[in-house]
Amino acid sequence: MNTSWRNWSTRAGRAVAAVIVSLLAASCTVGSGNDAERVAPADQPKEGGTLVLGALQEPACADWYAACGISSVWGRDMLSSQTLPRAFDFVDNVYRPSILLAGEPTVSPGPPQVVTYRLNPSAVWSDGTRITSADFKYTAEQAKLAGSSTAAAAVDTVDASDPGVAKVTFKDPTPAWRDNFARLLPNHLLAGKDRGAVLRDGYTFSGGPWALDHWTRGVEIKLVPNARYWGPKPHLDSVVFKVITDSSAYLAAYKTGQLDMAYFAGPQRDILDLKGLTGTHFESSIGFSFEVVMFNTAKPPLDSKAVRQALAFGADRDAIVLQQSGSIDPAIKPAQALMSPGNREWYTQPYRRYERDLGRVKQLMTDDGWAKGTDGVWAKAGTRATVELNTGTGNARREQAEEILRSQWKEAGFDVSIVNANPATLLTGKWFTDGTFQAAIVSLAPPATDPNLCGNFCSKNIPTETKPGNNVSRIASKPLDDLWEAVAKELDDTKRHELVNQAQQTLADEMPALPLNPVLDIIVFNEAKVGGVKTNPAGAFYNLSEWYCRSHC
Amino acid sequence: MVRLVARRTAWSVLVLFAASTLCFVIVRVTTDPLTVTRASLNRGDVDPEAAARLLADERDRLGLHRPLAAQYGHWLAGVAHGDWGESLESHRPVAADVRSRLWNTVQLIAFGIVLAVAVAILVGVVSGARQYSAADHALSGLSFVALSMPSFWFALMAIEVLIYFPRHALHLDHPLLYSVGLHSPSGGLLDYARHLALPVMTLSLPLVAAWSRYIRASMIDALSAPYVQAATAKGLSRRQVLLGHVLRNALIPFTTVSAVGIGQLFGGVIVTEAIFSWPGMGQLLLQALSDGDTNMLLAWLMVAATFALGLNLLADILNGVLDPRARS
Repeated sequence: MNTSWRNWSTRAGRAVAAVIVSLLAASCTVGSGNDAERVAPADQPKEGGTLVLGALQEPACADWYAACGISSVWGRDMLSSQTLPRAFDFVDNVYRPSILLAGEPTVSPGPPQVVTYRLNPSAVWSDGTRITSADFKYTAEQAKLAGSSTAAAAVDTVDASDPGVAKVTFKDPTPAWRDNFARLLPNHLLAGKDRGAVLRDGYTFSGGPWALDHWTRGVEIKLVPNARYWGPKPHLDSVVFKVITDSSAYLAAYKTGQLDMAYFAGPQRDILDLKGLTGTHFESSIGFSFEVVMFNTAKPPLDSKAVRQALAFGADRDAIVLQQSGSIDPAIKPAQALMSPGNREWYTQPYRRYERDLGRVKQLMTDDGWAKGTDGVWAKAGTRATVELNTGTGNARREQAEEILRSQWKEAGFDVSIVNANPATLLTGKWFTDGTFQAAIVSLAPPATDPNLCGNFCSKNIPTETKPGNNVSRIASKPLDDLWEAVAKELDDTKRHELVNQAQQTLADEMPALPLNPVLDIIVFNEAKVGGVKTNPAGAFYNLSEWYCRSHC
Repeated sequence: MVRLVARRTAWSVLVLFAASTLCFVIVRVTTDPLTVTRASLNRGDVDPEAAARLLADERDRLGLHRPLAAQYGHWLAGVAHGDWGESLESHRPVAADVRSRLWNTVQLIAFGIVLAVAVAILVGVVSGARQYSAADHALSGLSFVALSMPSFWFALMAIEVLIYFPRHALHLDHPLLYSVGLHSPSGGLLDYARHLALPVMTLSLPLVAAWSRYIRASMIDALSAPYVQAATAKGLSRRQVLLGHVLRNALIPFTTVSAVGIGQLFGGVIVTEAIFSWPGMGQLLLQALSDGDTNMLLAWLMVAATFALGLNLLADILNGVLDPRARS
């Protein structure tokens, strides 16, 4: 028995050793054979190679004008921005005509407002067909059908009689006209077909620097250069986006070298571990998204403006923001408007007046008829000032903010409880639709840089069972409605700035929401391997065609 | 035996029908089928008129104006004909998504079971044959540690110890094992094995711990049986006695226990798949939950119920085959 046991253990030991040796061989040989040839100087892009990037989400479909794809930020960054032409680029916080256009469009204010786009004659789809005004017309029709934006809905006609000129006439004055045609579709390939069926699982055509090689759902998206792209060609042979939906797994994948680059919208738990990794470039910048406490202004006691303002004075937002993001960016401050400081052109600071001040809390509550009970909680006509705070489960950052707010508001005399729910239930399900929530921490992610917040704060956008809407605070204020309607139609830039400023001031006064922290876009990559990366609040991969591989690809 | 199989199968079909009713009611009570549409329309700059029209169209398309019982009947008839409807999120046929994800999960479960059975038998035999020895105490202690260790924690530690540490200590270009997905862009059989290793280990660890304890107990019971004493008295070697008589009889009850355990594995893969980004049924469930995709949720629940019921049925039948007393 002992001899056979020894023999068996010797054999097993040899087998284990063989496995370890073969694993080590596989781990060392791949990619290291010709490192000396492949290492490029840091500032000189090298051609070729494949980079593996991480994606925390993937789109449900690749039809960007259908419910399944229209609001996917990762879909925009990974696929549509890389494969479809657009009228404007947003770089350095400024809209610039893209390589698709032959110059800045001409705008005739009207009425009716007419925008004329002149197309670059060398712009072609990947099958060699020229990109024409017919593509503009087809795209405008699809965007309108999908209700994709108010700017798209305002388009009246697109004159496509000259293939090289698209003349767009608007029903109403539309200052946000630059947001249109951000994802141009090929008329010659899609007209008369079931667009959803053609695009659902990805498309092989391209009008951008990259083309989709394959998309294996839940696994990866692979892009290869579009051979017929008329602009600067990508440096890389291919880019693979690995889909990793669990944030811990995402961090671990970068840490263990399975990803060359990772991108996070907002600080994640343990993200600072990555800062210390040798060779890792760690960069954060303020994006367009920001977090707010959304108050349900139709639900007592938050139907009182004084109570909402008292809660704002009861919160130490500096402490919350520092706790949330201070380890990443010690200089970060709370957003002082219902807009991110990342939107530099339109950002103002009307919420600056809401510094923590328990004296102001007392004054506001007393003036509104509240008195503190023996338990230290404000009460009025036998009703205690109770607030239920919600957010989507599984978001550690927001759960931490909830705890801090509960403690601060308790000290200010409010009885705060925390009840969280599945994001599908809270954000898009019954709680917001029926207005059953009281206060919720959510992120506001504007789909464009336009400052118009009518979608969030105009009374016509209060959601009902039959009509979706994004005014979940249910604020119904005539002055606010009028201001946002004016912002939506004012073409004069100076006057529009004044209107936006007034509207933000009114929001700060009405207090349908309390802004917290701007969301940090965090990008980490192996700088020995990846070059050419630039940050942009409009998307992490906006200049993917300029990325290159320095070594080991 | 035929009667046993027929009786158990009929009972399983009835339970499956009851499960389908329960699943449909629970899913529809807790999740609004229009959640996905609302999410896509709840954007800052959406045109309110277009949004109301699109929502009404979707309500009509899904037949939500009909009574819940009629909706259930329509769904069940579709399921009976292999039509699970389409995902409310991706608008792809649910059956196609489930098929591709199920295959990935089956690979994970199959390798996990093979590893778990092999290691559990080895550990159980060594522990049972050498009761109260140092090896038995060590293996028993390890089993209890494995039983009490959460899968996600073990998985994260395994990534740290088996991927991160060797890569940095040995300055490897690529990790020894992978913790993301099914394969690398380069592919290959060894690459597949390197992706499979950690998820399989994570999935099988609690099974090894539980099953090895069961086999150990069965071995100890069998060792004291008269037929073992008779075999020893006949002059058979200890190895022949252990493998030919003790283990063989100890494995009979283990067969049914393991069949039930495998049926429960479907729930266990959720955590494993999430941590290792394994594109299987667990990931599909988490995605459907966060999207509020009711059609996908229903399909997942029905597949899980069928899997568990199927394995329970198999356990019943195996029990009948191996133990004639159970047939009555």
